[in-house]
Amino acid sequence: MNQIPSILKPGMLAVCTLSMAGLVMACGTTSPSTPAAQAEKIIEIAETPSPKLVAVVSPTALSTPTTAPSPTSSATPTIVPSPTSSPTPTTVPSPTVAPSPTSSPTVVISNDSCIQCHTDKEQLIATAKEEEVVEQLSEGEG
Amino acid sequence: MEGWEKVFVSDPEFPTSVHGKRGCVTCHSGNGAFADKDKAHEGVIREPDSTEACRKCHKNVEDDAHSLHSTLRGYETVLQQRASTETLPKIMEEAFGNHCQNCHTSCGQCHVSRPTNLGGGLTAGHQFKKIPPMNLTCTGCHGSRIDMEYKGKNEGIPADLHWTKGGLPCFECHTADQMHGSEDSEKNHRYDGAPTPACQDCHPTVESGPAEHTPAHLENMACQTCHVAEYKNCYSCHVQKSEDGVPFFKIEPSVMGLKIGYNPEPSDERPWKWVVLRHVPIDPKTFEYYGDDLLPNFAARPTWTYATPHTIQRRAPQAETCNNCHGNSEIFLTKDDLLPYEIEANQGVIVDQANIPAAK
Repeated sequence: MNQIPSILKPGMLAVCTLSMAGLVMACGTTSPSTPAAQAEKIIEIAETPSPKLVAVVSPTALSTPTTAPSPTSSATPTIVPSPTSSPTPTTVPSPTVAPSPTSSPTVVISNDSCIQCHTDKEQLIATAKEEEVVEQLSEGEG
Repeated sequence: MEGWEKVFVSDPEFPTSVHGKRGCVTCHSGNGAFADKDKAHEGVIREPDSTEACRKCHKNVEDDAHSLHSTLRGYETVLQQRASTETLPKIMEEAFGNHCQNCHTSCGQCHVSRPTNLGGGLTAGHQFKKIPPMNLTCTGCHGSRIDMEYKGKNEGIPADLHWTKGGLPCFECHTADQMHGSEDSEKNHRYDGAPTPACQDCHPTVESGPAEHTPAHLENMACQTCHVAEYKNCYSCHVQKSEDGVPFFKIEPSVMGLKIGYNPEPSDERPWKWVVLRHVPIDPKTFEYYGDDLLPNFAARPTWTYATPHTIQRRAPQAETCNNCHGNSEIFLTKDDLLPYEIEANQGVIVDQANIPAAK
């Protein structure tokens, strides 16, 4: 039976497990392990005709925390197992895949809002910014 | 177009079309996962790079690299001749970008939207038009000369016969291959190489035409010499920037007219001695705002240049009688027609009184 890494405590394990589960459920995939594999994955997915893309971006590029799992945001006290519970070996995340501040979180890139907004005349009228009218200084036929 | 209208994907079939299925972000970047406008548009590319976005499927887009629409090589050619090795970089450094570069067009600026130079805006709800809409793209840019001449919008000047009788849109004569550029050669300007189109492509029997189609006439005169009505001539373009840094130009009022002169660019494909000449909007001080004497070799090219006006007639006024040309110095470009600053530049195209064909 595998041993739980000593750096992980039972509570952390549960949080990590839930975070990873949430990540997998949200994205349907996990990040490739190397930058090259990540890039390959992005290209592979981007070139499919599917309207949804999955890309890996740096943590600083994330605009909302809801798309980036963090060790403290995915679990609630009610589902944190007690210290006496024994996680099964199959649910123990290895240190190499545990989210950390330096790993690349996964975000969904979609076309949904693009199409939704740009096919909605009323919404476009309400939100489109009129271009600044520049005084025409040229004289004569160009 | 209103701002919203320019970006309104009104074609309901677009999202499920071949291009639509690729997804917006594939060409335009940004991220539609965000409902917030600013976040969704972060990094968005308004005008996708043709070679990147189009070439993945349209392999022949590489031809576009040789298109004058894309390269603007024609501008560079004339500036190289009139400038010097010292002054050309100064022109290209800023003035070219401010005043010439915006005439560049890409795949999308004809096939999806209006050219950016005209303010952009989707022409058909983001449909990809195999044949771009002529009025919004072709004559949108080629307006003051081509559109007005071709459709007879210049007062007193008849429209082009190909428009009035044939109703021919631009693409009937100017094929996609011609407009996209040749794969195996890069033209230095639009009259580089064989005429495209050539009149004989559609009119192959001109040699058995009217009596005036003598061997001497056909050999020595471009078709336009007899078959175009007056056309537009522009003078003295000056470019500069406002105090706010906005580029603008000033061109003197245009003049309608027709002048026959010597062919400034004779070649195997264009061997004629006589052609019609159009005055182009340039003078030695065109770029004066950006530096002194930036066109030191101004006289290296004529200001009256080879022209193919879009005012073609079956029988233009100058061809109604022999002596409308023969012995008529008014219709030939002579020294008297030149402004002081351009006399040297046009020595190769002006006609001395002694060389005007004698009256019949």
